[in-house]
Amino acid sequence: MIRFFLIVCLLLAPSVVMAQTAVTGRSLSVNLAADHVDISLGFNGADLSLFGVKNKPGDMAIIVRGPEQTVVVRRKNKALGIWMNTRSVEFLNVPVYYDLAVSVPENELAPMDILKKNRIGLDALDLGVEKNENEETLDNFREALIRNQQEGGHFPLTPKPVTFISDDFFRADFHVPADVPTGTYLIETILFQNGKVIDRRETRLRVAQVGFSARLYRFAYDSSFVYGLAAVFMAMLSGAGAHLLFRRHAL
Amino acid sequence: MLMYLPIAEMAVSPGTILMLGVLVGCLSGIFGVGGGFLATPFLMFMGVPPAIAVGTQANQLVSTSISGVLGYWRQGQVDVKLAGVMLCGSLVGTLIGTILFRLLQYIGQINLVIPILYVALLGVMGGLMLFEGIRTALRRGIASDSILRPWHDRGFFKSLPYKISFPRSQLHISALLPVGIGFLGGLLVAVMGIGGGFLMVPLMIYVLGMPTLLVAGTSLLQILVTTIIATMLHATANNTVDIVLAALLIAGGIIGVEIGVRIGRRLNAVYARIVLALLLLAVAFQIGLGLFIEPSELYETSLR
Repeated sequence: MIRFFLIVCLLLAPSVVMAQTAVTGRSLSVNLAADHVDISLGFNGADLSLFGVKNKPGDMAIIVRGPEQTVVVRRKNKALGIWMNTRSVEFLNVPVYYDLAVSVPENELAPMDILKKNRIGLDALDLGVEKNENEETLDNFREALIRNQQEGGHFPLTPKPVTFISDDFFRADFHVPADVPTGTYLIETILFQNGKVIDRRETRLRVAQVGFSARLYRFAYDSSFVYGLAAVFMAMLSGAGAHLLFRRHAL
Repeated sequence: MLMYLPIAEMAVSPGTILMLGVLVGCLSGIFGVGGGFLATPFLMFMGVPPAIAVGTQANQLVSTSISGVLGYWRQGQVDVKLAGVMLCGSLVGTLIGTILFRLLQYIGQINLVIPILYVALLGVMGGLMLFEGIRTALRRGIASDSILRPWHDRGFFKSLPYKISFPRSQLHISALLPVGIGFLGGLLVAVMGIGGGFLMVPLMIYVLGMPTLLVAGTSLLQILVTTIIATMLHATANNTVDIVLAALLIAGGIIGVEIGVRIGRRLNAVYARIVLALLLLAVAFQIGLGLFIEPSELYETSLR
């Protein structure tokens, strides 16, 4: 299992942070020690731990968001005695992965319009629908999409906690499943005070295949003809080899 | 332990895939069929995207069919000219099948059409084989009487134009017949990820009137070339061949074939056919059930 930590240098004593704040006006620091998830042949999912320091009172929300993709949701209906897809709705901006950690329940963080603006919580996600369906239909499809994503472990069932190690030193833990989509992930740490955003930090996480697995992937996409030939050659060689190895005496 | 498939971009248990390969290989060893009809639905059931299941299965079939072709080749049981003519059809079939697959995926009905095709094909073939097998078993081994038998002498087949001689099979028939059968085979490889041997073999015997001895080797040679081309098409046009998944399936398959051949030697051919027929029907039934029972999740999502 790959475990990596996004560590705000533990060496940073609060006083040093204070000094920094005086210069930059920062009340929140988040730093990435390991800014990548490496997917290799043995990849089994990864645990993500994020550490940070804040030096003003307030509530925290940490959002992990993968790249956005267009997702089609289809609904089965019984037609001619068979269950088949009959209706579909396209959602244009669905993050392939989304997770959230909060220090207090979402509704205590800020009013809904602010949550929506900052995309905090599944209800606040703008998934971008194009079709002019009625509200109820859209809600059903949207719920189904979220349900499916939750089942695959790509959306959270409940927000994770932000745990405070001391008054201003916090950490949050996330888990990405083994079939996590690749791409650049955005991690936003937002500090709220009385329902208002007072500071935010943005960090990036690169999720990519590495090593043999990555080479195969690039091979398959960059020189797909040669890759196809290699696949055929591998199959022919093993098939012929098996024949020579086992069948020689039989025939 | 899980293993990450670089093209499917998902993790699977390599043990399960190996076992599937062994099982499929076993079937090939016992019955002489490719076993794609079992492997492809199972891969989809495991959550491998349908396109990757079909593309990778084509790759795996290359390995199975080449070791079969070599065996028949040594015994001189391959009609190369006939296989070549069938290939003309299967090339077109593979190409159209690949396009059809993309189209069905686009309109969102791939998960409806593939199960229906499986149910129809496996149901009909399984039913026919079971019927024939029971009849043969009752008559103590006269296999020549078949439901498809009357087709052979139909005037329609003889009246078709573009006649060609196939000296190896001692046939003088219209080229349209082998081309048509090849076309069907190519479609099956590209859309369903199966070699289609169990459909083509009876057609070659009863529609073409080929000597039974040459049928298996010839159809395997045709399947070999078709699956090579299908693999190339899937790899270049769709990027849906996962070489790691294919390698696991092939490794399991090689072991399975050896086990299957040993079991097959002890098995009465007639009963083996009945067992295969029941297996086809069971898979058809299992897949068909999914079409008629109300699914627990009515919604499905797919990336565009």
